[in-house]
Amino acid sequence: MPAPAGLFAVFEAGLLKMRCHIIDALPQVGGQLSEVYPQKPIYDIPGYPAINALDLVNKLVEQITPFNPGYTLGERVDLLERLSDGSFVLITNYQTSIHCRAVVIAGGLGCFEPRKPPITGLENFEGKGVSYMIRNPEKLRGRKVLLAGGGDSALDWAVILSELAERVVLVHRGDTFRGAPETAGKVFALAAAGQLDLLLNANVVALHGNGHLQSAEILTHDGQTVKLTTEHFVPLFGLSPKLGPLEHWGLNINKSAITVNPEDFSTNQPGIYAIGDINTYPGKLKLILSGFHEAALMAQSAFKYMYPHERLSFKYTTVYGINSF
Amino acid sequence: MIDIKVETANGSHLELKIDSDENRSLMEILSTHDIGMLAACGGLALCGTCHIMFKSGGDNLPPPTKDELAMLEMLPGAGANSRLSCQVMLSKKLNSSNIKVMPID
Ligand SMILES: Cc1cc2nc3c(=O)[nH]c(=O)nc-3n(C[C@H](O)[C@H](O)[C@H](O)COP(=O)(O)OP(=O)(O)OC[C@H]3O[C@@H](n4cnc5c(N)ncnc54)[C@H](O)[C@@H]3O)c2cc1C
Ligand code: FES
Repeated sequence: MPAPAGLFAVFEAGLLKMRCHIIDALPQVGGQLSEVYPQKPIYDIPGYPAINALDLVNKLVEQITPFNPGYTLGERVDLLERLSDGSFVLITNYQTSIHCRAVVIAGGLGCFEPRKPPITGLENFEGKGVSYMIRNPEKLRGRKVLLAGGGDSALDWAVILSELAERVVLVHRGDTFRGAPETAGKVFALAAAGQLDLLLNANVVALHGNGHLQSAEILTHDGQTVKLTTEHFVPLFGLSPKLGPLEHWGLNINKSAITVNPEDFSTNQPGIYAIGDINTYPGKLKLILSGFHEAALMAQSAFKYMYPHERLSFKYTTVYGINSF
Repeated sequence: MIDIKVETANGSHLELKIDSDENRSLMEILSTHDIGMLAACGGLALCGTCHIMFKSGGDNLPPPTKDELAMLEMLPGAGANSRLSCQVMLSKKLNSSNIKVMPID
């Protein structure tokens, strides 16, 4: 789960010749930095008077490249099981399974899950016409698609699908868009040219169908309810953090955070560590800096856990360099 | 002193008495109480996890900025009396208001 804490853990583990595999529910690495504030400057990274969040993520990725980590992105770890030999298997929502000897949870605020609008029948049609993200736009070619939302993804998809789909309707509950002004401009232009339907100050209120979505009810700005035939509805209301599956892994949890031993950030389960925003201990500060420190101490402890009979000598990178693998 | 009645996301109630000269947002005050407010973006109007609804009061507050409105429009449970508490600065206008902290969708 590689946000800053997880990425730097790969580096610290690499120095001790432990290879890592990274799994993140988001399609990109970087956690909150990439998802919440990619273009904001950070001022409290030692050595950088100011650094843009995405630049920091890119530098962290560059820093761990010599240690050749495996990546599974866009998949959420749902299950964590201990095998009889003490090793672990992690299984994702796409059934990818990763076998390992120690687990480092750097799950931050948890998984970013799509916000679900309060619409009658919404959950009944999940996977049957309702989806919260568009993985393959080609599947919508020649179809009638209803989009809802006012952020970047709603605008971007409205523009892209206006060329692919038979008809695109974008419903937005306000009349200003949060997304990029240029894209909002394009959406207004496409609507004026009749290439998509834009319904402002409107809300999708109910969905109907027989097994699969067939139509949606929309409450328009003048208080009327209109029925729209559509096979696909994609509500795009952004993502919101949820602790998610790691609640059920037998770890001690206190107020949505995993309690750890502040000596080495181990959890109550031997071989499972928690670093970064996801953990809690007396004096915890939710900072990138803290996650880095925790990653270094965790790696030393994980080494001793995995190789109890090997001696671990403390080495400076200045003296020994980086031995890639 | 600013007196605010708060209903938390899980339905419990508390009453806040705040020194009116504090130059802080309502989110900052609410986060210091153990009510599970996440305020994930720390007050940048980016996350919506500090969403509150005014049950009464709050009418004479400065109106939401464009950024706040745009975020509110993204929040499924938001209504006409919704605000992002990180964008509401403490002021005497909040006195005697009654708010509900909205659950994270
Ligand atoms: C707007 C904003 C500004 C900030 N500014 C600063 C600052 O100036 N300085 C500073 O030090 N800190 C700042 N922070 C805090 C900083 O971003 C966090 O401390 C940091 O991101 C924590 O990193 P992390 O590695 O613990 O987790 P996160 O960045 O939260 O990432 C956790 C990752 O784990 C993944 N995940 C969770 N559960 C699962 C699962 N079951 N399966 C797969 N993946 C999973 C998530 O998808 C996510 O990508 C700021 C935060 C915000 C929101
Ligand atoms: S704290 Fe994130 S929007 Fe208010």
